[in-house]
Amino acid sequence: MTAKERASQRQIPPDCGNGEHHSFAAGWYMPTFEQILLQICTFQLGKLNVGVDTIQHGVEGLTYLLTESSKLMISETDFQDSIRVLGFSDELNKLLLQLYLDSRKEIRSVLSELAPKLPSYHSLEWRLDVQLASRSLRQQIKPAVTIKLHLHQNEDQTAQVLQTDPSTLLHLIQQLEQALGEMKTNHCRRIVRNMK
Amino acid sequence: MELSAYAQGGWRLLGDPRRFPRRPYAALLRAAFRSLLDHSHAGLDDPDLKDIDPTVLKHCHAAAATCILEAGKQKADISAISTCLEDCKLDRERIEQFCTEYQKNKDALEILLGSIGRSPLHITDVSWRLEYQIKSNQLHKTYQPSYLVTLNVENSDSGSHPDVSFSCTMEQLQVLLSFVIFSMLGSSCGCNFLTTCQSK
Repeated sequence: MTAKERASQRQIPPDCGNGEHHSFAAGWYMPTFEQILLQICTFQLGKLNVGVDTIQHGVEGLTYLLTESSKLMISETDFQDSIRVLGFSDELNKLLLQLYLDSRKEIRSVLSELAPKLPSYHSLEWRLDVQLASRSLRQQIKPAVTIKLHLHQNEDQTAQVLQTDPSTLLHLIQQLEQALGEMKTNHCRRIVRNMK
Repeated sequence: MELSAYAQGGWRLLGDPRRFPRRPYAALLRAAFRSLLDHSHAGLDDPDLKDIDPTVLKHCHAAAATCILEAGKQKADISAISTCLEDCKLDRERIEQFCTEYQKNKDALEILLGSIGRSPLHITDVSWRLEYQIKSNQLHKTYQPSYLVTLNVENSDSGSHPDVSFSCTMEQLQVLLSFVIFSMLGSSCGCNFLTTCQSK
């Protein structure tokens, strides 16, 4: 398969995400647009003498290109093939590739925040208490472990106070050890190996 | 160990062989323990109690239950219970009958009384799920394992409570496990120390 055929298969579709088919991929083969994009990439917007709309289109197009590439985690080769069809100069292609490689990790970490999430573990504090008496029963020796579980959900932090006894604690340890051990089984290792 | 005047009055009735012959007395003791420990009122339907006046039956049942709970609460020994019942004019045989029945049910009573009271949500069990994230609509090729841990909890007041669920990575689960192990080691040392103190 030639580079062009590969590029056409994995080419970023010419849709900037807002439903309009901007002419980012098609028809903008004028040297002036390339210069505009070069200036945007290198933050030299002050030297441009074009309208706001043009800048906006350029920024939107660039954003879409970087976001989609990061989301799909495409390789360097595929990225280069995708943008080669746009007919930009080598200098701009190299700049775009470098921009992609430098910002990919950060963009992916931002995108991962958008996925549906459950409350996630943050930290845990514990304390050993012994109940000595209560209104209904005197002369007790009842050990209990009090746990403060800190969870995160969508920027909110919650703390839940829970208590348990030593025998339940032992059961929790056995269960969590089993959970961790599961990742090391042949079944899970096979899945992980084949997925990548 | 002290009982209220009302309870003492009930025990005086229980100690009177004309009001409470031997068989009804034994039946009432059984009924009192059952109503507290099994939450059942079936004991009062015992045929041996059918000839007892209902008002007297109610008074005596309340007196017996009060004595059982007070003895359990104070962790009273046999001599303290005996002294209390002697003050209510019970004969030796009836006191021994009560003490025998009390000894049989002492552990269950202690568990019942110990479970009454407020405490934070109590963890009773844990369940977990291991998943391997492949992609989402926002991000492809995520390829990372993730655990969903659910702690089953009980409320001391109402019994059930929504479970506490959270997700974590493998590394976070390892950290969580190490904290739980430390707390277990701490509670073992604490329990050993307390056992030593108690035996002194």
